[in-house]
Order: sequence, then C-alpha cells, then structure tokens
Amino acid sequence: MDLTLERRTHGSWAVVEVGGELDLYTAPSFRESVLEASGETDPPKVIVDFRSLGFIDSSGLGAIVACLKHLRERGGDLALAAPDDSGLRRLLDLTGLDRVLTLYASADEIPQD
Amino acid sequence: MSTARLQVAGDPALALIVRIFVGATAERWNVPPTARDDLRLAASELFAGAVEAGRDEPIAFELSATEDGVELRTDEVSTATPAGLEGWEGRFDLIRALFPGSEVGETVRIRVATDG
Repeated sequence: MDLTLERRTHGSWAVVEVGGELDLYTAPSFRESVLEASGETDPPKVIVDFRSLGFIDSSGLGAIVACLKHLRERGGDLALAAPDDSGLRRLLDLTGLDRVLTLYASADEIPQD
Repeated sequence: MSTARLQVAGDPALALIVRIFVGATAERWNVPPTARDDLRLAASELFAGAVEAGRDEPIAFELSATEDGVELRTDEVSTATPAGLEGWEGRFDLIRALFPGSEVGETVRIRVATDG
C-alpha cells in the first residue's frame, strides 16, 4: 500500500498517523484524512504523526501546508511529529519550510492545550 | 557504460514505480544510501513536475553507470510548483539544493559518486 492513515486522539488534539509514501498520488488522501480529523475537535486541532513515514516529496509538503492554512483559517492548528533523522525534517530544511512549520520529535511532546 | 531506462505515462500512481526504479538501480550500482534517497526524491520531483504540467508524452528516466559514478537524466522537465506551495521557488531549487553540481534546465542531469 502506498499510504496508510490511522486516526486517534491525544488530549484535545485529533491525531493522524501517516505511514508509507506521501507524494503527488497519495497527497489528496492525506489531505482528506486530516481535514476529516479536524472536524473531531473544536477548535480544529490536528497532530500529524509521521514516525512511520517512508518517503515524502514537495507534493506531500504542499498538502501539509494546505492543511495548515485550512486549520488556521478556522482558528485551529496543525502540529507535526517526526523523528530527528527523518526525511521530512531534511526536506523542510532544504525548502526553508522549517521556518513555517513546527516539528516535535514525537506526538507525546506536543502540549495538550 | 551500463544504462537503465524507464519510460512511464504521466499517471500520478506511477510515482512509486519511478522511485523504485531509481532506488533499485542506484543500489545495484553501489550508490551510497543517502545519495540513493536523494536520487529517489529528485526523480519524484521531476516526475511530479511533468505530471502537474500536463505533459502528454511518456516521461523517461535514464540512469547511466560511469567509471566514477551514476548519472540520472530526464528530458523536457517542468518547473511546476506543487499545489499548496504557491510562492515557493520550485522543484528545481530543491534539486539544486540536493545536488549542487547538477545541470538543471530543460534537461536535468544529476551525477552522484559510487562506493568503491
């Protein structure tokens, strides 16, 4: 399977755990899952847990940024969790998006409020 | 010199096939793991750019093993910006950041050294 998406909650946050490969083909499913999850909390707050992610390219980054914009426009927020040595962190660094997106090492580190 | 070539239709579902082809060929030709991952990322960007630009013709990726490394080449590429990243300077800048010595234009050539 190209992409796996599992949902759970973490305090006042909805969590989407992403595994597999996030690219041009799988980005729409990712976006749909995050936006669905955002309806579970008020305000809409979603943690995307990328610890099982195998690959991401800039199409995947575009989907993350689109979700971030959507949630912030509705008074919510999007938090990302990814290990320090992950491809996501490297890609954010290369593209300069590390200045826009905040990453935590794990979902457990994200403040509950 | 050995050459491997993949030609695929511009179907987003085939991005995974492009990455498998590039990753497996690079591994067979002793490209170190980090450079292999970067080649897979570059190939994915080039494929996605071509698809998003609405290219009708199949997209070809060619890997060549030389005496001192491996070259990835693709032609008629596009600078399309991913949806959601409007204002970002583009896939080409990412490829240049990954491979500072690459030739990036209508034809893209990326060269990486091999182990041993």
